[in-house]
Amino acid sequence: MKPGSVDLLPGTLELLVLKAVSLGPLHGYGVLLRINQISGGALLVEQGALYPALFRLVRQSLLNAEWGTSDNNRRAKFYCLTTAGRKKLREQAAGWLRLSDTMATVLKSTAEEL
Amino acid sequence: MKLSSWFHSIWQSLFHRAQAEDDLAEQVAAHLSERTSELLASGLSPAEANRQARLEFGSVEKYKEECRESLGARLLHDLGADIRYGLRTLRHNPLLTSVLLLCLALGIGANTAIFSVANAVLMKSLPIRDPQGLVSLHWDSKKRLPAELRTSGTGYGDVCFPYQTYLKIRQESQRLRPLGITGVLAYAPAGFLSPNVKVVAQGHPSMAAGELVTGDYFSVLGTPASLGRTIFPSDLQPGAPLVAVISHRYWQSTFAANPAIIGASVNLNGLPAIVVGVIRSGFLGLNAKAPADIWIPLRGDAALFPWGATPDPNQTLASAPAWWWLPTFVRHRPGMTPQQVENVLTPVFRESLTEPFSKRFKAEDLPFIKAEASPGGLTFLRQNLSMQLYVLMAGVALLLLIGCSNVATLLLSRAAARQREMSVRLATGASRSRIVRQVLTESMILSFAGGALGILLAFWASHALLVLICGRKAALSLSVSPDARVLSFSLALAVLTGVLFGVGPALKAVAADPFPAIKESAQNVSGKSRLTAPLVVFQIALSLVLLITSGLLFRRFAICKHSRSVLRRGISSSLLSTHALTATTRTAY
Repeated sequence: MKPGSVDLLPGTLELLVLKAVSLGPLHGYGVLLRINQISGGALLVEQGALYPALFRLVRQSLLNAEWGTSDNNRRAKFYCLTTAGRKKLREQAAGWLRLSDTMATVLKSTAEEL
Repeated sequence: MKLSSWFHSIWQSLFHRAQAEDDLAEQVAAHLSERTSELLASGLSPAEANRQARLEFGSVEKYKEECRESLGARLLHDLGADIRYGLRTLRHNPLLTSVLLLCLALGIGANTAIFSVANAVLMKSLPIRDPQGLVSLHWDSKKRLPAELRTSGTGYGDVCFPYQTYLKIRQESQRLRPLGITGVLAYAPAGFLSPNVKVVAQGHPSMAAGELVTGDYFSVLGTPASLGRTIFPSDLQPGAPLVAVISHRYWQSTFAANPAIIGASVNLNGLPAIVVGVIRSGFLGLNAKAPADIWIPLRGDAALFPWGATPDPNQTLASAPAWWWLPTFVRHRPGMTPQQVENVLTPVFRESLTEPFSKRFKAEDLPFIKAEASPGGLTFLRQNLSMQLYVLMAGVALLLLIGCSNVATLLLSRAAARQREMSVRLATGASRSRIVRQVLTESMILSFAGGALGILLAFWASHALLVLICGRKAALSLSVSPDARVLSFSLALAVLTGVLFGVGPALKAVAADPFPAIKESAQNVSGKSRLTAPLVVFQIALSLVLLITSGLLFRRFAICKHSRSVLRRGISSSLLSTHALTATTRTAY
């Protein structure tokens, strides 16, 4: 494990995908690049795991998929958020932030504060 | 998750699998090539870039598998693949497959045949309105009834009542209705043997099985006519023309289903009569053992006297109160138990008995009513046969067990030969549950195919069986054509059988450690399983039991048939007039 990098907790991959796609429609590889970009390279995503996640999200109607052309003129399937997806992203992100704040507070408490 | 997108996903999974596969393959390929280009750009050699990209991606097949799973309908797809594979495997061993199919067809077929006979005899109800509301009346008595108070000569001892009883119940019907008795009917065969009425139609004489019925017979039973009308109480008035209605089967066989039968005049035992109706198909009277072809109003005409008796001149139906000859049925309202029917009708019955009875017996020793629910009509057939049927059912169940263990033995020996194939599958990552599913599917294919063959066999065999057991006449009145109950029985049996003999080989297939089997060459695979010997012993034991039991049963059947015919001949020769006394024991019929 590279120093300063974070292992992905199970279940968070889909949230990341939703976030990445919310910033603009992307194809599979593009989602990977964007996650890398916005996390500053700290998140390690196993590349292959992306596709089952994308499929699941499409099945849950949180993403829409359409064939298009990528930057280097390749045929690629582009994913974009649906309204349901947007809503889910909002809810889950809020939940996560609440959780992480609470966890941070709990973990930072020292013996003196008790 | 929206229903429509779930639906779309399943649809894709089932019907556009190929396209979904291509889709996925293309996306993955695109991903890999993009990463490879990036790595190339950063200076790696093409081979290195390729390898690196794949390493980063992870196991392509594994993720493809996950994608396929997320599409859904996985089980169904697997099932389809298993079935195709199973069929191929079975086709490769035609000899083994035919032996297995034969075993299973015999086992399942025999069970289905016996079950459909049991279904017809024991469980089917009469084709009348609300068969559950029909009750047949029997009488019983603490003291023996002397001959001057009661004679019968019908052989249907305890269901026959004097005519007065029927009349009395009918008279009291207004009073009895609020007590729950909604109708009464009675009938008597026109002769002791069957067929018993000489029918002359358009100059052609033939014999038919006739029944003399009371005026409300058809209305109380609720059986409509499919053509013309049924018998009404007005047909029993003195001076009314003699009418008759015939059964659908008789209409088809003797009158070629000619609609002109309605209104046609025929001659019944010399009496002119008019056929006024054809009863709905399927109804053949209330006694399954003696199906009726023609129903005639019970009027007391000398040529058509009940039970074929020859009356003295001026003798009427009611003039011999000591002659108990009329089987009587009542209908009760829903929810009433036979016990309640008995309580209501016993006083009425006792009132209908003549003076000599009250002189001879104290009030509480008078005979009383016993009511028996009879949705299937008179139950003699059931009483006689139920024990034999149960024994037969046990016998064929054993037969099926033998067949199953036979099949299991054969399959086990074949499973040993397939050990290598199973090991390879386990080694390449198939889950054990998947392999068990596949082996079970193969067994199910076998048992379903065997079951289908068995049902065909049963079609043919059950009719023959019914004739064998009940005699030709009764066999015609019962239909053994498989209905829903029988078919679902066969289905359940097929599934059970498949599981029974499939579980062994399935578990064995996954139990073994894969690697030794792969290392060995094909010739070294052992053919014997630890289970073979016990299975063979099991089969031999069961077969012995079956052989001995069926031998004994066969002897008993033969004795029974012989004594039956002797009894019948004896009774018919002595039945000449209404006052003839023939000792009837409760067990004879």
